[in-house]
Amino acid sequence: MGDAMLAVTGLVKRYGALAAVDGLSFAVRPGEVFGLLGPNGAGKTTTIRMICGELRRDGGTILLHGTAVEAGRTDRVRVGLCPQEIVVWDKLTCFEQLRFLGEMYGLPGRVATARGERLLADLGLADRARSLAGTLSGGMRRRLNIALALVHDPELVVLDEPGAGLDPQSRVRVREFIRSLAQHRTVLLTTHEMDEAARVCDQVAIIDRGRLLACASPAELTGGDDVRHLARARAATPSLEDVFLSLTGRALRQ
Amino acid sequence: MKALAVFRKTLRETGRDRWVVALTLAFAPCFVIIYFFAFSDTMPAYQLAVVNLDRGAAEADGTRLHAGDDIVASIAAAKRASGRPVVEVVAVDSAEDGRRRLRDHDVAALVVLPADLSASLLRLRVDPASSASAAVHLEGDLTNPKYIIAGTLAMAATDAYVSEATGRGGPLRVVETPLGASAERSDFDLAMAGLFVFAVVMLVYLASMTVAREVESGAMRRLRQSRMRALDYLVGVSAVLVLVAVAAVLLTFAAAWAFGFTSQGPVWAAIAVTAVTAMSVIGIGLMVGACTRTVAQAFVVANFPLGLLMFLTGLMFPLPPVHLVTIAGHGVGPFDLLPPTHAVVAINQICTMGVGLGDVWFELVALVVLTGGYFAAGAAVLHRRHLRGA
Ligand SMILES: Nc1ncnc2c1ncn2[C@@H]1O[C@H](COP(=O)(O)OP(=O)(O)OP(=O)(O)O)[C@@H](O)[C@H]1O
Ligand SMILES: [Mg+2]
Repeated sequence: MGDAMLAVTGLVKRYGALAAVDGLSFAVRPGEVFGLLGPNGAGKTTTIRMICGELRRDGGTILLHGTAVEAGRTDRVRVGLCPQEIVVWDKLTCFEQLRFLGEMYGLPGRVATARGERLLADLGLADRARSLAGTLSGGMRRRLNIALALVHDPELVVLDEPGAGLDPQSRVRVREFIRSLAQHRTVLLTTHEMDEAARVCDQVAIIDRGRLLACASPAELTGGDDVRHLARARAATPSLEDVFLSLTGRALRQ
Repeated sequence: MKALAVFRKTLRETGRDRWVVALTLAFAPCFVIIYFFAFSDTMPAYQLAVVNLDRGAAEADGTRLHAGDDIVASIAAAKRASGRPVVEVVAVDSAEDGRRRLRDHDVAALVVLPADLSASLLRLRVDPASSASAAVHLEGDLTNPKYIIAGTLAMAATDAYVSEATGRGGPLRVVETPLGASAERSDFDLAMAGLFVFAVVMLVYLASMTVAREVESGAMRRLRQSRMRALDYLVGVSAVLVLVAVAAVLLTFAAAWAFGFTSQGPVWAAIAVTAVTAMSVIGIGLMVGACTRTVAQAFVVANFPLGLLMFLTGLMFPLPPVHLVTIAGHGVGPFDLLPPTHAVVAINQICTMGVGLGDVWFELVALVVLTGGYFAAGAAVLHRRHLRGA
């Protein structure tokens, strides 16, 4: 774990009697795209919010490059968060808000401008750079949501369901974009889309009810001993979705 | 630097929120127009109902004395120092009729002149030592301040007539001196001081909603991630709100001036006081916004400080002073924590008494101190609730 970009150990978050995150441990290596997979309510967003220093934890440790993350004291500048909900400024144009957020991160105006334009181009929003965010389609807003997480060029990019509500074209574009991010940065993302996870992630962790069920590369998960019975039953290599459902879902067990 | 970025961003957003800005700006000028049509040609005048039951009496030379009629005429003719009539007399047939008008607030006071009025006066004139005395009845609603004024003025006019009619001459002569330029002020002029402050008090809504919108949309989370300081945010946002406030104040003054408002003192001084008041009101609004999580919540919560600012500051109607301590010769009480209290006093001093900015230094200092206090409180709440780690 010494070389991990992010190391999470025994993480706990309780809401009253509910343990939303229950002793979760995993590590993300630099330059990796790490997928956090789990059904609704598994604790993905809660985990991410603790990693970003937004939420206080009830137990465990989070090390970012070997430095402990405390609520409110993260080296936030090194982490870029794309929240699950779309958070954009409806009354600002795409370009204006990227530039504004860049300035809030302390970037000089020139740098913020250049980076904003780059991100809009990378995410296929260059044509709409001068449109108010409130006038964009849902998928465009989602891409702008991702761009906003990246204006300050963070080392660790945290994307909470970046692919939700995207059409196939956008999904391919975003997938390629995430892969390109991993050339210089580390990416932690959550998703329900197993197909997507299998294509984009180097490592995936499947969690449910706040606990880790499996953590490996998609290939290891679909080809491992644990799922050999699945392969036998279907007479084919199981997909990541098969593995996921076998680990978390009742449907396959019945 | 970051405050400047917040300023530019808020300016854009506010500028694109045309309806909200237009309504905020139009509010007070609309009231100026309503006030103009409602009050412009009335001076502070008092309606007095008079029931004249006097039967008259024959004098020694055979002519008849109608003291009741004479008193009514002399009350009606009495002029104040400003040259305006003291009261307007409304002749009514019976005390019952007069009371009905009192209840309806058609008149401020009711005077009943007795049947034996002239007879008593004649007896006194013939024999100054006589114990003759006629009872003049005065009735009114004691909770109505206009009653006290109309009644006093009517009785003074009656007294003056009686002294003259009985040839006794009054032991006292009251000379009225209006304070400042108060004699020249119409009801419209008087209402304007409150309206100027009203124009900026409404900013409580805009200020609180600007912050609440950022919290509700989740944008405050993004800003928190950027390690924004509460002070940078508040300075940037309030700079925009101050621009809106100054525009609102200038428009309100322009509307008042267009409809005939005149100020005895320098108008720029009144505008300056209003601008400082706007800053403190914005501070309160930002504090409210920082305390809430949604725009709807901010709207509901903002009504509370708005109510205090409107009704406990002398903005809508004068309040009795509540003083706990004295600072620099000025009594200070709980309502002095509300900025409009000082603004209304200062603007009245400037517009009605014709003083300059230097003469309202106490109010200005109070406003600046309150502004600082509310901003600091707003910054503390914003930091605690939205910018610090959860
Ligand atoms: N503020 C809160 N108060 C109480 N319970 C909460 C709170 N936030 C989250 N939870 C609970 O914690 C659990 C995990 O929620 P979380 O949002 O992390 O799930 P998730 O894995 O992100 O799900 P989804 O895929 O639906 O986004 C859920 O049962 C949720 O109801
Ligand atoms: Mg979630």
